[in-house]
Amino acid sequence: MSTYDLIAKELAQTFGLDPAEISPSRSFADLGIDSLALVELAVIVRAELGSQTDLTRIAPDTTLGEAADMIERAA
Amino acid sequence: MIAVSGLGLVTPAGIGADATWRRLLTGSPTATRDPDLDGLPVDFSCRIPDYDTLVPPRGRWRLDRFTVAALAAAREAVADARLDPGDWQPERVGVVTGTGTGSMERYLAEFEHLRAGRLTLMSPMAITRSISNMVPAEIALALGARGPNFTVSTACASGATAISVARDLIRSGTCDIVITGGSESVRSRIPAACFHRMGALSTRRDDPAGACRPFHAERDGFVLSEGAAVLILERDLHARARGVQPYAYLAGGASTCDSHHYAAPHPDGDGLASAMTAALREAGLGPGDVGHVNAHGTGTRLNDAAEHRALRQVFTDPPPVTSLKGTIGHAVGASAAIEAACTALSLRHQVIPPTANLDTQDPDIDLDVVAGQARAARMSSAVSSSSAFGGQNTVLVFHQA
Repeated sequence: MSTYDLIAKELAQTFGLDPAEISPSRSFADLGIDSLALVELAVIVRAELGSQTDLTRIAPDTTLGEAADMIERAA
Repeated sequence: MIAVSGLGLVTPAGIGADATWRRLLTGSPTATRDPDLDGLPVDFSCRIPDYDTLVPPRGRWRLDRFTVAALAAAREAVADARLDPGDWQPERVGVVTGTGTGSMERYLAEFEHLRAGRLTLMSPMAITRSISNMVPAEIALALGARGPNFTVSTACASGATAISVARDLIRSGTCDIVITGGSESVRSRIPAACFHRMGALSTRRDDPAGACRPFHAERDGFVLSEGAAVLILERDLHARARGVQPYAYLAGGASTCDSHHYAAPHPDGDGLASAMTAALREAGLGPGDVGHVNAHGTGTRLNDAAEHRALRQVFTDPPPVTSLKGTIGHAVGASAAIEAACTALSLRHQVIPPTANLDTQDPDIDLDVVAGQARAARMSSAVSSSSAFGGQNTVLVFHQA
C-alpha cells in the first residue's frame, strides 16, 4: 500500500470520512482534520509504518498528496 | 412540579428506552464472555449491542464508549421530549451527568507506550476522551446547550446524584431544561482487573448469565457493564406547553454520606436510610405512600445486606423491590440514572421488572423482591435508591404524572 493510500484508508476508517471526499489535492483542513486530529493520524501512520518519522511539519493546510511525499522522503 | 419529560437509554438490554424496557421486563440476563477481557480472572460482562450504530462514524474517533453512549441517549431523550435545539434558549439549557471512574478504556495502551518510551505513539486524545467532564461537554457541543455544564461523581450513585443536582438547577430558576443522567463503561481491562482485586466482582466464569444475583443466597459480586441514561427535567408547565405528557414527576431527592468506611456500606444502611427519609420528606410523602423501590441491588454480599437493613429502617412493611442489575449488570456511574429512568417507566406502565437469577432469596433478606416475571402493581410513588464506594448515597422519589 502506498503512503497516500494508507492516509486515505485511515481517514475513512478511523476518522469516518466519506471516501468520495478524499483526494491527494485536498488539505487536511478541507476535510475537517484539525491539528490535534493530525497528531492522532501521525500516531496511526507511525504505528503502521513502524517508523519514528518526524511528522510535525505536516500542518492542517498540507494536502494529502504533499503529506504522503513528506513521509516517504523522510523514511 | 419538576417533570421527567423525555428519556433516552442505551444499555446492554437494548438501544433506546423501548428496547431496554422490553428486555428488562423479561428479566433475561445479558452477561456473556467478553473477548476484550481474555486472560483475566473475570472475563465476562454486559455490553451495549450494535455499538457501532450509536453515533455517525465521523467524529467518533475522539470519543470513548461512555461518551458515545451518552450522546446517543441524549439525542433520544431530547427527541422524546419533543424539544428542538433550534428553538430553545441555549443559555437556559444545562447538562449535568454522572460518571464514576471516567473512562479507562484506552489508558492501558497509552501506559504501555509511555513505559516503553514510545512517546510518539501516544494519542493526543488520551486525556480528552477519558475525562469525566467531556461527556456533558460533548452533549452540549452536539445539541447546542450553553447553560451550566458539569459532571457529578459519586461512584455507583453518580447518575442519581447528577439528577438530584439537575433538579436543583430547575428549582433555583437557573435553567429551564436540564439534560441529565449518567454514563459509564467499566468493561475494559483496568476496571475488570481492579474491581476483581477488590473482591467486588462475581467470579462465575462458567455461568456469566447467572453471575449477577441480587438478593440471592449465593450472590458473589457484581458484573461489569456499560451504558447511559439521559432524562430531560423541566417544569411541568414548560413540558405541557409543548403537549408533552411527562413520564413522572421528580418529587424528592436527597444525598448523604455514611462517613463509615472508604468502600463498604454502613452495615445497618444508616446513611442510605437517612437519604431515603430525607427524600421522602422533601416529596411530602410517608413510607406508606411508596409503591415500589428500585433498589441499588448490586449482588455483592455487603451491599444487598446493608440495603435490606436500610429499607427495614425506613419502611415497616417495605413495598415490592427489584434490582435491574441481574439483567444488565453494574454500569457504575450510569446505573443509578438507568434505574431512575426505569423507575419513571414503572410508574407510567404500572409494572415492575423482575430481578433476574433470583431462584433462592437470601433468607436473611426479608423483602418482597419481584422475581421470575414482571409484576403489575398499582403505585403512585416509587423510590430509586443508590449507594457508592465512599459511603455516598442518593435517593430519588418519583411521583405519577
